[in-house]
Amino acid sequence: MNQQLLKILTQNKLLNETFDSSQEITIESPWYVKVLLAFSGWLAASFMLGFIASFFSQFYKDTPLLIGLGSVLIVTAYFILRNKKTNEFLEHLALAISLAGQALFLLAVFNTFNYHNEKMIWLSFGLVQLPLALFMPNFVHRVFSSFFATICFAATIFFLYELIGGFMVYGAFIMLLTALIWLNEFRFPKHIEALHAIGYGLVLALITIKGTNVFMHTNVWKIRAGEYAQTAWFNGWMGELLLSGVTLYVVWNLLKKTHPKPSKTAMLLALGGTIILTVLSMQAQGLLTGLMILLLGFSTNNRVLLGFGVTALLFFISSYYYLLENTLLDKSITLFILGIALIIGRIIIVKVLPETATKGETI
Amino acid sequence: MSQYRKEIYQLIQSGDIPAEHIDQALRVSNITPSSHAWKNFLSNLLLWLGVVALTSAVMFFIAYNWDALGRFAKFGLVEALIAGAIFIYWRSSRKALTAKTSTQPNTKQKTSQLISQAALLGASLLLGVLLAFYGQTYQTGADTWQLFFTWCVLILPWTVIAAFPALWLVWLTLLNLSIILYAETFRGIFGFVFASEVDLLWVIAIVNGTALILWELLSKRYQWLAQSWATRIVAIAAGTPLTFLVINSIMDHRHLTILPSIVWFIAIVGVYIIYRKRKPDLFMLALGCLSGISVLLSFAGKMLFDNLGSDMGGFLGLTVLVIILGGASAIWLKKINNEQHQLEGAQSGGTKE
Repeated sequence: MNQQLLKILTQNKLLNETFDSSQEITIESPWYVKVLLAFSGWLAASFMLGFIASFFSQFYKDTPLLIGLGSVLIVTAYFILRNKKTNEFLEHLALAISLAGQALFLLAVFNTFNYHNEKMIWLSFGLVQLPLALFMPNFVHRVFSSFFATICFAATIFFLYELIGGFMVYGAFIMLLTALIWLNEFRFPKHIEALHAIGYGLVLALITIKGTNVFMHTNVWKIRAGEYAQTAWFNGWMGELLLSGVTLYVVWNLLKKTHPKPSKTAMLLALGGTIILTVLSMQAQGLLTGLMILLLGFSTNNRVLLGFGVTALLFFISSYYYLLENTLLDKSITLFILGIALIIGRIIIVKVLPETATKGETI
Repeated sequence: MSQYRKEIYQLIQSGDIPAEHIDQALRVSNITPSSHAWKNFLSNLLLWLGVVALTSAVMFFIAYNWDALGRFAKFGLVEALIAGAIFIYWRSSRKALTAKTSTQPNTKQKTSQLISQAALLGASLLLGVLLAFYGQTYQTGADTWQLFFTWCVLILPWTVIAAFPALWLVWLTLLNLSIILYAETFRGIFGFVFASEVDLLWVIAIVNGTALILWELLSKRYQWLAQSWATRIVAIAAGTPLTFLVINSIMDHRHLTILPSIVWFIAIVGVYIIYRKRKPDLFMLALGCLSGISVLLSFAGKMLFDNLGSDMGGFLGLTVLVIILGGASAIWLKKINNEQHQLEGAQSGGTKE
């Protein structure tokens, strides 16, 4: 345990009286160790599937057997992972067993819906992933399941042409959920690991969904969905509006959390700047999402989230070039106005805020 | 940024920081940024995003009017952009130089250094645009690899003076691309498809491996080179082709060779000695584990499927092996991670209780 940190916490009387400073605290593994674990889990699952397939080579069309065996495997994995004394070998085994079980479920879903009913296939698989994300007591598993559950439900809405525009609303809703998790990540100590895992899964899914949203305008989907545009339940602007609302909510919460409390000028500038940015970025899809991830990452010192935010921003900006909805001239004008606004924003921050924002600095 | 996030996370999770003190604990450990930190972050973010947006706006505008522009206007435009970037570099490099030599550079000096590096990076990328346009306009007949190689050679002086790891990575990427494109051209003429692919993997592995060794050696002397994210990228670029070479030599029935396995083994031992003993880096060790797992699984897969005569046994054997190898790697890496944290904790806070 870091002695300097302990000193700061003890001086401020922030630790429990029962805290034993000599106890060793297990340090969370870095992301790449978890990726290595997940990669091996995937490999083991595919080999295990190969083994099961060669054992029951005739059972591929037997849907009840597939569901039964899949459930047994997933439940077995749950019980292995629930045991807190589970070591890495068992954790690995459980991941592989669960993934193999999910693959059997997927086969059963394909058998049931005859490969052509995209909506139902995606929805069914999303419904398998959702409880796994919520209840499977393992970090890697939860990241994986929350990512896939989010993507599966997005794909379900994507193929529901009657809900054109619903895809955008869904993206904004996922942004809201992501923001709520990261803004409150430390609020529920008992569920902190679950919240983190689901939070990362949602961020990854959000980048993917927003990426698809960008490319959505260029593919056949738009032509097919266009037929339903007149009778749509949702419209694209609802998504934009909801996203703007979420952005303002996040900025407001971050301002409330900041210590020392920002001056009125700083708060007005932050909220005003956010409104201008939301209006300007309506034409540049994904920009707000990337910025939100970046702000959430910085607000809790989370380097992984910051990395995701930067990657998302770079991805969205470069994919903007391929958006066929607007001409290059329109895009150029949008970016020019956005660029000027950002630079003006920077000048205002540097020139206006020094005296106000840093007033009362104590830390 | 605070380095205590992981520790605070653990203390909150274990209930050692009561719920009512969590917000304050996050503040005193600097995990929740102060107003001052927010101001610095936002001003940097807005500057970078603004520059990216304006540059993209100019690029999109040129792309929109490309056909309408005359040949000289096009050349003039790209050259003016390069000249502009160099001008910005010249303006900010003086302040940056003070920052590099000063023991405690202030924020303004750091910003100047950043701007000068970004300007040279921009100029280097624009030079490639100029070369491509030159080739297109005058139909020079040069191969694509020549374009990338010339680009790589021409930006070398800028790369040397910029003292900027990202620009060195761009340079190395261009060198890799030149080699890959050269191999494709060569393959087209002679048609030794398989042989040239293996040769290509060798060349890429050797070039990137040499780059990694040089980078590590020089980073002792030049502090600005000591960026672990950059060496990690170079290590991936060197390790991936080498691992593929070994897997290929295991799977290939036609050419029996143990040379890739010998070189790979030496590289793995080298990675262990350097990144476990000399300059601890868990990422590099994880990379070595991943490469090791891939190679051992290929070897075991080949043995099992060739000799057992039943797919079932092969799959079962591989499942068990991958669980053992993955689990063992995770245990070992976690142990080293804990050791490193204890060491860092002891170094920053004096003796342990």
